[in-house]
Amino acid sequence: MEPDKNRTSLLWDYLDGNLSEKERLAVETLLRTDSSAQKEFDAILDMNVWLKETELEQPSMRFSKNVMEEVAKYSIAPTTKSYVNKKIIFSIAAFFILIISGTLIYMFTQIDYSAAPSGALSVELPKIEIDWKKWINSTYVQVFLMADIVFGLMLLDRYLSKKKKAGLQ
Amino acid sequence: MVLSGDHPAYKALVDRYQYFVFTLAYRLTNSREDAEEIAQDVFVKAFRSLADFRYGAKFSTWLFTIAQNTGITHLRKKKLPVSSLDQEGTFIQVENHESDFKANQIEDKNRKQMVNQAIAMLSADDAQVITLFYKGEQTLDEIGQILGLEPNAVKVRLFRARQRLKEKMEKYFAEEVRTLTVQ
Repeated sequence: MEPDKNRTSLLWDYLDGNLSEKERLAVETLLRTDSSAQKEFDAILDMNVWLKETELEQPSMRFSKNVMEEVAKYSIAPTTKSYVNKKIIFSIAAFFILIISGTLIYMFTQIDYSAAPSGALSVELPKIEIDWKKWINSTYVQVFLMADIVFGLMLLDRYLSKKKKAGLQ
Repeated sequence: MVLSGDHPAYKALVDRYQYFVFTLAYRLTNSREDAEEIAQDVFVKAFRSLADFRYGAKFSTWLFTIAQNTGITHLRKKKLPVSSLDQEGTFIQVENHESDFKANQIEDKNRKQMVNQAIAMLSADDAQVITLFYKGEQTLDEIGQILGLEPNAVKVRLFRARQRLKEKMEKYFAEEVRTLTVQ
């Protein structure tokens, strides 16, 4: 007869010490009262011993020598943490903060507070008036785009010269 | 000493863990040549990454994690299938393996060899979890870290692996198992 899978699992857990005190006592009672459970547990015990006694595979005799010869060609690499440049992280954070702040400022200046229902807000809010047309016009946009292109080209130049240097070494 | 890159001290670690790392790789590939290549790669990678090893952590768990990842990467590079019983194709692979054993018949009825042969009939996933638990002296949590699984999933995988091993032993080594059980 096929043994009950739950019982088998419980017996393995009992052997591995994965059961709570209550479950452990229940299993011990089961083993005392049920001969088929005891028989299954004996088989599990045997298998556990056999598995513990298995031998590991052996690599070739020269294995550790080969490894050490290979290891001798290298030195310990710096920690992964040191690869991460904090300046880059701060720059990315500053970029996002700037974008979010800019968006919020723009949003707040676009709200028409006078349109709020009367009586809903008795406090007079200060009116923020920015003439966006003055700041966002074709001249400023063109200057901004030009600065971006120059900055991008500078970065590309830096990257390519670094790559060239690495290739020469 | 090892963490500062001392080669003789590192050699002592290689000597200590070479059998286990090799066995893990062998269970994954079923090829001694590939296993040796992977194991060598593991020790070189581990040496190069010693600066990343956290003080207080278990060295074996860290090393076996590198071994697992290196083994999987090696299989992907070679485009060999990672044998798993969850994959349909593996059934055919395992069956072929089994028929080879049947044809050859086991000459040596030594118990250790019998169990090792039965483990070799399992899928790589099953063989690995059994090896890590019984020979690697790793807890379920640690095996979870190595294989990238939750401890509960490891527990289930271990249970299934043992069941499958039992089935293999009963099917192919029934007489030996009976003899050993009687003793």
